[in-house]
Parts: sequence; C-alpha cells; structure tokens
Amino acid sequence: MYHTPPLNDTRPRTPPTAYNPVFSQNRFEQLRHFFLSFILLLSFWLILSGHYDVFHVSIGILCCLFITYTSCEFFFVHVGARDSHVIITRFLTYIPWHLYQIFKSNIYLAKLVFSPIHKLNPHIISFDSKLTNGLALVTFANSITLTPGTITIEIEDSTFYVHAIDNAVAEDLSSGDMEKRIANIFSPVDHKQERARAILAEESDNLVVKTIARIFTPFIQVYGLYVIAHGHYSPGGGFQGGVILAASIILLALAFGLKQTMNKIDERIINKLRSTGVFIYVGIGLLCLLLGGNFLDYARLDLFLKVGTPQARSLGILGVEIGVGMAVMACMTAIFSEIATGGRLQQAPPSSDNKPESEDHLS
Amino acid sequence: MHTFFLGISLFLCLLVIPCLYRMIVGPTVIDRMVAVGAIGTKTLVILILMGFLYDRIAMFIDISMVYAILNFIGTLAAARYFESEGEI
Repeated sequence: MYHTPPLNDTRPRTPPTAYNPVFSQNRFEQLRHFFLSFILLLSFWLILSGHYDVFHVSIGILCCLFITYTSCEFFFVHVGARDSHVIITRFLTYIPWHLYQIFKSNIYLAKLVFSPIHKLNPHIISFDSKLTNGLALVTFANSITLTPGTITIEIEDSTFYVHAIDNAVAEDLSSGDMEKRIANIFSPVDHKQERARAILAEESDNLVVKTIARIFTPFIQVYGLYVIAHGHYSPGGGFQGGVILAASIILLALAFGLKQTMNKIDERIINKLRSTGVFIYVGIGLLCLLLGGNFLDYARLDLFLKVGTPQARSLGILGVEIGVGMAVMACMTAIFSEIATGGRLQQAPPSSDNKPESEDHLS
Repeated sequence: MHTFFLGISLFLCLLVIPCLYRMIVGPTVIDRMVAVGAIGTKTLVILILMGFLYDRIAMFIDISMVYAILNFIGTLAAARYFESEGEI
C-alpha cells in the first residue's frame, strides 16, 4: 500500500514540498493518484510495446508498478486526481484551437519573412497574468512558445516576459484570448489558491523546467525499462535502457539540483545496484558455464528453466540485459554526480529514525 | 510516396546546413546551443521519414524518441551549466 513519500530514504519525513509532493494526506486520494498514474504509465507502455502476450504485459505491469511507486505523486503537484478528468477533457478540446493558432501564425510569419519590405520589430513585452495555478502558468508559457513569433523568456511571480517578433503578434497575445482559455481549463482547481501560491513561491525559479521535468521523468523511466525489456526485438537493450534511466535521474538533478536529488536517491543504493547488475550478468554467464556450455551459452539454461531452447535463450538474454541495465544506470548516475561536483558530493548523514527496510526498495 | 518522403528528407538535410553554419561561426554560446537544438529537431523528423522509407517505422520511432529525450536533456544541461557558471 502506498503511504510513504517516494524516494525518501535517508531523511526523516519532510513536510510536503514541491519536490517531495504529497498533494493530500488523505489515503483515498493517494490511492486515486496511484491508480491514475499507473493507468497512464501502463497505457504508455502498451502503446510502445506491441507485444500483447501474457509474459510481456506482466513485465509491463511490474515495471509500471515500480515506477508508479517511486514517482506517482510527480503528476499531482499542482492538480489533484479528483479534478484531473475535467482538466484533461478541457485540455483535449483546447488542443485543436491551439493547433489552429499555430497554423495561423505560421502563415503570417512566413509572409513576414518572405516579404521584401522589412517589417520586423522584435521586442520584449511583459504583462501580468491572472493565472494562479503552476500548471496553468506552465501551459500558458509553453503555448506562447509553441506559437510561432512569440517566445516566453521568463516567468517571475506570474509576470511574463515574452519576446515578440512583430507588433501584430504581440497585440494578438495581449488580447488575452489564450489566457482566458487556459484559465478555463484549470478553473476546477481555483479554490486551491493557497496551496498553489505556496508551490509557486517555492518554485519561482525555473517553474517551467521543474514542472516539465516532473511530468516527464516517470515516462522516461518507463521508456528506459521498455527498452531493456524489449532489447531482443527492437533496437536497444540493457546498455541503452540503462542510459535512458540514468538520463531521467540526470534530468531530475538538472531541474531540482544535484544535491537534493542525490539525497533522495541514496549513493549506497547506487553502489548496490552497480554491483548487483554485474553480479546478475556474471552469474548468468557462470551458470551457463556450470551447466556445461560456454560463458553466456544461454541454450544450456533450458535444463535449469525447464523450457525449450529458444525460450531459454530469450529468457537468458533478458536476464543479462536486466543486469547490464542496472549496472549501466548506476554507473552513469555515479559518473554524472562525481563529475558535476568534482568528487566532493556531500551526502546528508543517514538519520537515526531511518527504517532499515526502506534502504533497499530500489535494489 | 517514397519519392515524396525522400524529397522532404533531402530538403531537411539541406536546411541543416545553415544551422551548422550558425553552430560553427555563431558568436556566442547561446547561438550555438540554439543551432544544435534546431539541428536535433530536424534530425528527429528525418529519422521518422527514414522509418517510412525503410518500412520499419516502429524501430525508427524508438530511436527518435531516445534522440528527443537526450536532445532535451542535453540542451537543458548546457543551459544550466552556462546559467550557473559551471555549477550544477
């Protein structure tokens, strides 16, 4: 049952913050978050996978359960699961309108670029936004950037600084149509203004990067696990999957600071993962040797696994890839943290009320 | 249809050259970073078009997704590095 904050290993339970997000202390609400994230991630896996037999789907369910356990609250920092279905439906109706806007300004910009007279007037405009929710601000900022001709430079306490290439584009933006539509998407969470303000105060620097990193990380991790698990059908495998998993951790470190991230993902876990991965790889190799074959001669595993030779080969490769993936992920993370800090990474000392079993939930 | 995809891919390859010029000459670091980002986006589209050309779209979508993720993280890392002057 999910009741502890994710990846909170070495430190005592911290109050709900943006990085350690607990949207609600309500058990029912947390369960709802868990299931909604699980369904999101599993559908992502099933779209990617294309293998719908029991074996692959069960691997997918296990991987998605694990990722959901470590990071399900990442999706629900600004918005709770209770309001999310309304927001998702309204967002889906917003997309066609926004695509139309992109199309319109694309044509306008192309005309501008190819016209013989220079009418460009690049300038920076600033305006205050009435949006209070962090996710709404991020959606608005990204909508502005996606629309050709305007780029969001910075959000400072809900003041937007936008680079516009032309007066007409800037006027179009300041008419406020887009903002009104986005405010309408996020109107179900308007009553949670106090909480929204607290999060905004904490994340005022790099709001967009932090929010996007938080939403992307679980998907990147599921993708990494998918690459590991499907290494024998599609490009990729243990090494590539491990690098993608490490990239997700590096993304967190870039967005939230290396120190904070490495405090959540204990360095001891990284070391354990590294040696466990190598152990799995060498263990399978030696097992084949003991069963009378060559090193990593998977066909010999059929005696041990009691399946036919092709399945034994497939399972053996899968096992080796899991080991390689673990080792590569841990090594990449370690290399990044060591290089970024020059080898002087200060770990927070393990607190005295640390539960012993929480130490190895990653390994 | 194959000729169409091939034509678009070649056109995008040609469009990479101006970006490459900006990347090599570009007076500031920011110019180079933006140029690399633009090249990455074009490469992504070219990869998917290649998938259509070789009729192995599933495989090329996997590759292009990894490319997108790493492009995003790479740009972010460079931006963080230059923003905070060497500290991450």
